Amino acid sequence: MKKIKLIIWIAVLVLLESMGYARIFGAVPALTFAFLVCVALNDDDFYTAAVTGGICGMLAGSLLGRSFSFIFIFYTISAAAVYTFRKKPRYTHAIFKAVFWCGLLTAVMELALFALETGSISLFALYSIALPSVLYNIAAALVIYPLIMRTVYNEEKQRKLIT
Amino acid sequence: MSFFKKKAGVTVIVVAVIAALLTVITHFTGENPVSNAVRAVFAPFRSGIAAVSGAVSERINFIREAGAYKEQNEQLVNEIIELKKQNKETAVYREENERLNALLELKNSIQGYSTVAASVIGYSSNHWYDSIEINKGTLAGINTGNTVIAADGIVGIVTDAGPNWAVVNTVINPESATGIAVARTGDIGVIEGDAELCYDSLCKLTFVDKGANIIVGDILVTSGTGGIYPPGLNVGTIRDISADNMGTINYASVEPMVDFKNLHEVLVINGVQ
Repeated sequence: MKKIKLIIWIAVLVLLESMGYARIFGAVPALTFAFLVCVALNDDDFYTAAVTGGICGMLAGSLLGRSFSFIFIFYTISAAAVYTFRKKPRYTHAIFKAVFWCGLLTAVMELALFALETGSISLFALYSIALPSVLYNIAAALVIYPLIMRTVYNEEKQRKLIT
Repeated sequence: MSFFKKKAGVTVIVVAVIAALLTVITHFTGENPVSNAVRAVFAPFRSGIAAVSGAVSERINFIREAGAYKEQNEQLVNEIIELKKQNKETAVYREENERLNALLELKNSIQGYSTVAASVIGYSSNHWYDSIEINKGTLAGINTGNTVIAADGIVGIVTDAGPNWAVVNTVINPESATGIAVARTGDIGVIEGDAELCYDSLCKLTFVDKGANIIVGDILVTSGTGGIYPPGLNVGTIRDISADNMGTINYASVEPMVDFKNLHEVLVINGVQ
């Protein structure tokens, strides 16, 4: 059931992202990226997180017109990395971790893409490309996180509490 | 932790291999099969969503812009009213221009006479069209006895004149009489105003020769006899002929060429050049 919900979420987010329905001031945040970060932080299964990252990367790379290979690898590795470090630091609410990971990884992704395209990294790339993307994706994560908690992981957490 | 790191390492390797494989395939074939497949799968969904969202956003925009549409509609209605007004004014100007042009042509066609153009400002109080008042008078050189014509034909004779006005007895006035000729045959006669016919804006043709050949529809023009009107100006058309058993014409009713109901500008002949 959880996997079906995740697939539905991915499909909806990919459509929203690729069709530009989630515009903020004319730019579309990487909804699938924010989603995979939230999933990797909350899921207990490594492969679910990694495969979610891989699927999101594959779809985003295919439909959003960016470097397929880079997006595919980056999304999957990001999911694996976030999953690996999801419990650090301890006693910190996962939404803060989602904001942190989303911001950090988005900045790395945008700068890396800029470097791949232009062969250099500049302050322009940092302020004009990476920073807005970071803010957009953090905003997306703040919206997506509570939604997937309610729709996907709520039952799982309740079951854990009972057992 | 090492378990996760091992898993992550395997994942990285698998993903890197898949990505490398796809990159190689893309490099050699020019197409990314995964990307193509994803696009093919999502295309119908995207088309459907685009169609639905397009229709919905169109409705929403319509509702959102309804106020603006209303305002625009009011503006357009006002614009239409203004344009209709302008159109009406233009039509009036065009009609006036045509009338003035006709009057100017008439003025140019009457050689040897001095003329004064004037506008009709009033009609007789006892009968609408048996006398009219014009806006020029003695200050413009108009005096009693001057003849008045319009583009369509003769109007009448000035019977009273003030500094800036003059009264004109029209050809249907019972006191008026004008020498005419039948344009078709050259027969001469006199048209006079008639107390009864006057109410139908008609006058009557009298003093026609016994052997005169006139028919309904004949056009009458001024004969020039008596020196009142220049010869050859349109007077009217025969509308009805009254004759006795012997065929002798008693009189004929004549419809003036000038439409007194729509008479606006006239030309007063006030002398010979």
